[in-house]
Amino acid sequence: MKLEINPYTFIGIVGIAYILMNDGVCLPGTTGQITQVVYVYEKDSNPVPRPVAGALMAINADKESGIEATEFEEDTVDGDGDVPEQYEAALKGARESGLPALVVLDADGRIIRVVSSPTTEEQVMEAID
Amino acid sequence: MDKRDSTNLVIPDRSLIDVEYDSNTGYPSHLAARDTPENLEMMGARDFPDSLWIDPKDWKDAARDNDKYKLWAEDIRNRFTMQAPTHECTSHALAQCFEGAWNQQRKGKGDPVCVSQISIYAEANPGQWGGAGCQQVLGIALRRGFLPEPIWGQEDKFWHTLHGTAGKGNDNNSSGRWTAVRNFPEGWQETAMLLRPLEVINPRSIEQMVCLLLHGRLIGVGRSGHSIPYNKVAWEGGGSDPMKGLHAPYPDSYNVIRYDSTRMMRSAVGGSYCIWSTTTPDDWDDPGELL
Repeated sequence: MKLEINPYTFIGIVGIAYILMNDGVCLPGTTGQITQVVYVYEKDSNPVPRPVAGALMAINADKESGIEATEFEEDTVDGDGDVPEQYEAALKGARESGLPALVVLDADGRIIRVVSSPTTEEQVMEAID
Repeated sequence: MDKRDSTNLVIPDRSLIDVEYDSNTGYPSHLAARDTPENLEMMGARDFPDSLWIDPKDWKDAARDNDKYKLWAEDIRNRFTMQAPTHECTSHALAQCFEGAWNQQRKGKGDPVCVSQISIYAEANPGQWGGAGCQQVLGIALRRGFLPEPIWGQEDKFWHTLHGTAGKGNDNNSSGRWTAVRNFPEGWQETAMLLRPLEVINPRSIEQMVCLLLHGRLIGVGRSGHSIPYNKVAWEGGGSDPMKGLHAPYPDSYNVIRYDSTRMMRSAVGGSYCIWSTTTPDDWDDPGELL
């Protein structure tokens, strides 16, 4: 059987590929653009490495990045004594990986990737690249 | 190398070092006597964790890293406060320590929270004049939290606010009349619970204080009748002795950066505290839980 691709089908395939490559649209089972990066740690085991902290500061200083970069000490709670909602997914992901961990998430709190025990600026920047 | 980094401190005016006030700023000796490491421990403060120890021989390298990455608490300080002529110094120092820990968790000074000093001091000293203890104001904040100030749009982010100080204040520190706790806005406790210190560390030596400063936190201290927040360390002069030339800069609650020498820092250890973490909102963009 001869496979025929008309111009409309071709444009559609290229368009979907472009969207997926740029994290522009979430389809079921995929993740969206990076909006949050969190270094989750337990200070009795280790503080935040300075290069990692510096990278998080630099990400926040770049207002055009659209990414919120923070640290989260695992015992931190909100005013009600609960894990802050904005960190629930990151904390779960980090605990599954083992602390400390850098967790990268999209706007819906879906984990894009987890980097175990990062120590350098490059590891943070590569994680959001 | 930048000659003005933290290992090459230049203090422009020697009168800024080891400042002691003739007038009462709010930390009299009879209240200072109650500020001990033992009393802070009873309030729930924890001992210095071994994981945060930095060998003194590595202090200057850590300081240079902090310069490079802008990790000092001073780098993410949003404002001065201005207490004159009140006796609110302990609450002004406490507010700086809280705001610094908030920003350090946030990893930056964008969208900060500014807390009201009088929201604590009014309970610590209902008589307004005479001051308060460092641990007394810290204990109030741990138990029920601060109110935010009505500046920088915070009145639109929280249900309740209260001006910062009954003193002069400044462009970034709102001023108003003395306000007793009974005159706080109705229901204020709900908002204050959102702005509490969580984990407090109890430094027992000048070395532990330096380590905590190198980790980007502030140290609240009271010494020589005045309470201040150390937010950095820096060395005036070179040399391999990490104690030589060491100074702790601080944003004094009189719109000015001043410096304590190691002599004064040692005298301040007993009543010192470090707020490591604070309550954290479910959404940084909605710290008052309005949505």
